[in-house]
Amino acid sequence: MLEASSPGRGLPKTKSINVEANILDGWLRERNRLVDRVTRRVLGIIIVLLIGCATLPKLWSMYSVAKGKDAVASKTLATIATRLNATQKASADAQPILDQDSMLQESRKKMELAVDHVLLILNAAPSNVAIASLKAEVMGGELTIQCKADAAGSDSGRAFVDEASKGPSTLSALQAFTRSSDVFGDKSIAFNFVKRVKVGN
Amino acid sequence: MAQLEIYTNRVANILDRCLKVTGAVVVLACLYLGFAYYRTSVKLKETNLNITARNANMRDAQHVIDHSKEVKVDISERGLKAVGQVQEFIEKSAENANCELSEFQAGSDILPYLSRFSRDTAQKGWGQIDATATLKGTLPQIVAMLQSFSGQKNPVELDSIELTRTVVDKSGTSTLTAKLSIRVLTKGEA
Repeated sequence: MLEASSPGRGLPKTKSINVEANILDGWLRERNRLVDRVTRRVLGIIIVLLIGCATLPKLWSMYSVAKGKDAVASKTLATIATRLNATQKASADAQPILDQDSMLQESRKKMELAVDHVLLILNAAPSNVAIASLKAEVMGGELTIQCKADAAGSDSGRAFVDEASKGPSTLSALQAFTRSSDVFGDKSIAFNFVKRVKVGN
Repeated sequence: MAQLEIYTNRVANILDRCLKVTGAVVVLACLYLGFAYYRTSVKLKETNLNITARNANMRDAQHVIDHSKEVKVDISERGLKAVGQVQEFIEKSAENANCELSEFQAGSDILPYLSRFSRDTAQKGWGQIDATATLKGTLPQIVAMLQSFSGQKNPVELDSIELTRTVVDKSGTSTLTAKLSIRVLTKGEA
């Protein structure tokens, strides 16, 4: 193409910028940014609402169920508390009977235990041993039995001591004193026997 | 006609605020409900624990009541009246055992119970009244009398027994004197 005017002068080379195009481009960028921003916010709101819609009813339901259960449990507790008060009152009224019974059973056991130990010594005496006196005393959980007896001879006395020393919970048993006696004749002896037995704690 | 333009900074700012407000409302609602649920759950757990504990207490109390119904104990005679019951029992037992109750003595004071069978007395709230009974009879009679104490209706604790041979007849049968020191236990009035 000829780059010359009709007078033969060449066409001046002028530089130009497309102002309209640049303005539109900037406006488009700004608009895109705004669209993007608005879209993101709208999406954000939708997501938040969706999360809310998904979470809140579930939480509300859990809360309602728990609250319902708590209401039922509280009512049950109140009923039980009322019944418990009545039962505990009746129980407190019944307690002295049980205390009395418990003490009675315990005292019977203790009495039987002490009497059994005394009987054990009385039954240990053969026909050639005569018990003159016996004292059984309880002190600090121990039963001390002191027995004065006469025997036809030292052998029968020793046999009695061996037999009387038997029995459960024996702490000690000894022939404390021996002397001659005339109850069973010339060879007879008089002796003291002491036995300590654990009968308590 | 003016075109509705939604893509403006103003709209974007409003949406921005809406998003924050919506987010805050949802978060706060979640926190509130979550906390309320947590608090209710904790309360429910405590209530259930209370129910379990009280049920256990109720079972214990009911057990005491049921047990007390099975027990045949007369608690009407307390204090010094209990001594009267014990005396009556000893008199009857002596009569049944064919031995003679020559003496019965009892103190008039109720002292705090202190067991001779243990170094420390576990049972609190009990009192004791000292009493002695002197019996005369043969050894089998005295033994029968002592053994009859298992049928005693009042708690009685043994202090000591003293058996002394007093008379021996021609057949060799000895008569004994038995001195029985006991303490009558009574609830409360110490």
